[in-house]
Amino acid sequence: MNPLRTRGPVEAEKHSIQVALVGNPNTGKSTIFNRLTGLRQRIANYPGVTVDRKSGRMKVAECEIEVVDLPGAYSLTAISHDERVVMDVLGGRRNMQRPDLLVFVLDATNLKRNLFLVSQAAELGLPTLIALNQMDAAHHNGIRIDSARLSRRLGVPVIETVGSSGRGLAELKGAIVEALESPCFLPRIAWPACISNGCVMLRDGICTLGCAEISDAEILRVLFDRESVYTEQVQEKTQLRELILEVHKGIRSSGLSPGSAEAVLHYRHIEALLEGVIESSGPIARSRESIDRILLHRVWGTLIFLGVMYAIFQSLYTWSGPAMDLVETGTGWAQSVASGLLAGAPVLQSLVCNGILAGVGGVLVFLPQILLLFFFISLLEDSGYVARAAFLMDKLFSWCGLNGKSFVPLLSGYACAIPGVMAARTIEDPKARLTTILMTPFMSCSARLPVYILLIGTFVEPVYGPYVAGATLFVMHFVGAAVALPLAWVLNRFILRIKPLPFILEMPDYRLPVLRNVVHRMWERGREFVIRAGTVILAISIIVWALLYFPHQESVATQAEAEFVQAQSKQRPAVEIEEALKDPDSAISQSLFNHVGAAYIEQSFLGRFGKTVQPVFDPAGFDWKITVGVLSSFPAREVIIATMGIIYDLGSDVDEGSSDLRTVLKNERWTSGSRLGEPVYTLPVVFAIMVFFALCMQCGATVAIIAKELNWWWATASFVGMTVLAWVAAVAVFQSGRLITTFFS
Amino acid sequence: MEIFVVGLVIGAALIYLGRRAYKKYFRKSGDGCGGCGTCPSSRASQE
Amino acid sequence: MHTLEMLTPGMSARIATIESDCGQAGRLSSLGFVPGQWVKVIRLAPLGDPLTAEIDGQQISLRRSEARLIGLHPGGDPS
Repeated sequence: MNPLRTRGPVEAEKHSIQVALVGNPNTGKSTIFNRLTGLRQRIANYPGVTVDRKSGRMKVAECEIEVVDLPGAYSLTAISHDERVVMDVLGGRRNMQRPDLLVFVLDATNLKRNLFLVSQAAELGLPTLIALNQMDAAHHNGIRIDSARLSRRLGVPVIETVGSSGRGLAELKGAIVEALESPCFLPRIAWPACISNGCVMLRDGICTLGCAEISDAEILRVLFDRESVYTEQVQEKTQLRELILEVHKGIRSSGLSPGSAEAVLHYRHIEALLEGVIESSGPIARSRESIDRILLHRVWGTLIFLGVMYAIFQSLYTWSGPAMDLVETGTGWAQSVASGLLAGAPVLQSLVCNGILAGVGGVLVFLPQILLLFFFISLLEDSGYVARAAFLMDKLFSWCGLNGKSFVPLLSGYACAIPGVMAARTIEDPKARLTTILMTPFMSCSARLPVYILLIGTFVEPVYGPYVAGATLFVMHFVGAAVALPLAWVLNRFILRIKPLPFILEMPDYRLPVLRNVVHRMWERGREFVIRAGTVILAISIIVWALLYFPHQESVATQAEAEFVQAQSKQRPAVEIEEALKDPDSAISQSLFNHVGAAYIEQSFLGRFGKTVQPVFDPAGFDWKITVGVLSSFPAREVIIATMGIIYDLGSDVDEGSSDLRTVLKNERWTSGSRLGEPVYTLPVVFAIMVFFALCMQCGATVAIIAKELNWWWATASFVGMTVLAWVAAVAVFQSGRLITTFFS
Repeated sequence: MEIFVVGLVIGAALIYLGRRAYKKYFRKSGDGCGGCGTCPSSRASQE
Repeated sequence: MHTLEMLTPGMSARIATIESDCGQAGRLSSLGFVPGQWVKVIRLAPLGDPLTAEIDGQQISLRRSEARLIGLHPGGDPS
């Protein structure tokens, strides 16, 4: 017997009970979601858009209720993707199940504006419940709210909550259960004649134009938003537009302006509702004012911003060392165990130790950094600082055809070009959208992070110390942006000439981040990174290994051995060499083993290919191994780490486990060509590699997404263009670096 | 015998990557991504 | 026409109209920028754009080009 059998318009037996959390951004909705569902959450996708669908299960009174955390929205006008999703879900479009109960999470410190969405949603006729959140902040700001009165006026339950501390959550759960059994509905706004008549006119008009049934709420959207997704099916767009303009004329003649009529009427309604509900003792003293005076100061604010960014990158070095060592030791241990177990099957042994373990292990070693980076990013997001950063950065972004709001997804990723490319969908101007999409891949991506860290950690830090290393990492992240900005400026000014993008962003109050949420999000990111390492990187590692192993011809070994012995015999008597070779642990035997290993790799498919292509990269100082690494990383950047692990590991003593990749890199020397005998990895080469990675589009997923968002022509052009640019920059960096070092030595 | 196992592993890797590439490059499915797994989407606005 | 763009930090005025033939007007009005409301400019970004406006207890940042859409009653309160 289901105690939650609703007597409302929805039958509980036909589907699972669904409760939707709705509200403005920055209301602490997610904190409440986390408290209601605990860790039983799932993230999926909404059909057709790239918005996360966060759902979880709430257990109460022996029943499991599905709770969906809808994206934050200011209004049901579908301006952004997120808002479109909210309206779609609430309207039951795209075959999505309409929620059985709406729980509005409102910010008590901003009640009036928060009620706008509530007022709009009343048209939907869904059972409603209100959680008045952040009561602690309201109290702190001297705001007193009479929730009982508010509840009476709205006709729905109002529960006071403090999401961060959990206060009121028990009552909220109880209220949810009660509301499912006896639902309450919001009263609809009393529209003036011009609008209600307009709706009737529109509805009749649309029906004759062949549109399927359209609800009251959707008709209002069409009326106010003009362009609306709800009238997509209508073929005769001009007729529809004329109809809407007719209605607008009617609105104008009653003294209202059609663009702001909805807001004016809703706010009038809200003001009447809030009579006597809110009392504030004196002017609202907000802590954000004094903090913002510093953080958004013309000079100090910018410096602090740069300082914060620098501090984050610096800490990636100084704090993750021990954890990285742990992973490396673990990988080494796994390799020695595996090599012992598989000693009888050399090919399989090589696949497992040098292919899989070296490849994946090489990427996993960066997990500590990834976790740390996302910890800081989540911290910044939750504290409210990110909106300030967007405010500071907006002007710069506007030169690129982006706006400061792009900073938010780009930072909160520092992850991937893909969200930026997809966020560009909301940009109406096609030229602005084009620029945004082309510029986004230049923004530094977390897949580049392992490359930077490996090279900086090996070649910069030991010589120049951790502070310079941190600064270098910081700078590398902005190389992409530093190149993209002037390019975008040129593109916009002279070629495309686009109008500036809109930018309207709320500056929320500063909040103390809830540690649980921050850690939860950091953990999610880490998990995604590991999964990627375990799937795509693993698969590519196997293939790269195979290309570096086969054809494993005996003749190569014989020849290499002969060469080695010949070279050695120039330094010591033949008898001594023979004796030493009988002992597999002697230095000469190790050396021979490495030499043979290196010869095998050189003769492998990928090795031969690398050597053929190497002259192209020679001006940038790349030897064939680096070339192979760079080439193999075109599908995904981190593969270079895996590849290097494989190339260099295959040349090392398998019995002892992997030798330290960093040490191997430092000792690499040219074996042929003009720089014979010199170290391969000099500082100019290292920077050339990093710059190449900063500017090159080595991400199959990005190419694919650009092809999908624009077309294959742009995707290819973008790919080729960035590769050429990366090559030019790498060569320039190497050559000038070499000049500088010879000048100073 | 071991060559067989190795071949199997390599084959599996190829098939896996092939299917992923097919899904991303050729299908017009609504899910834009499927890529790197580091996507924040609209996380910032979830709050 | 006196618009929000013309206010300097610290000045406030009452909103008279919102130029409604733009998508931005919808967003601005749903945030509370409606005729009759008092709005105050708090600060400008380091490069002069965007600006932060305070309306009804909340702070919203917007570009000068958007601030231009908001028409004000003359005679504000430079408090």
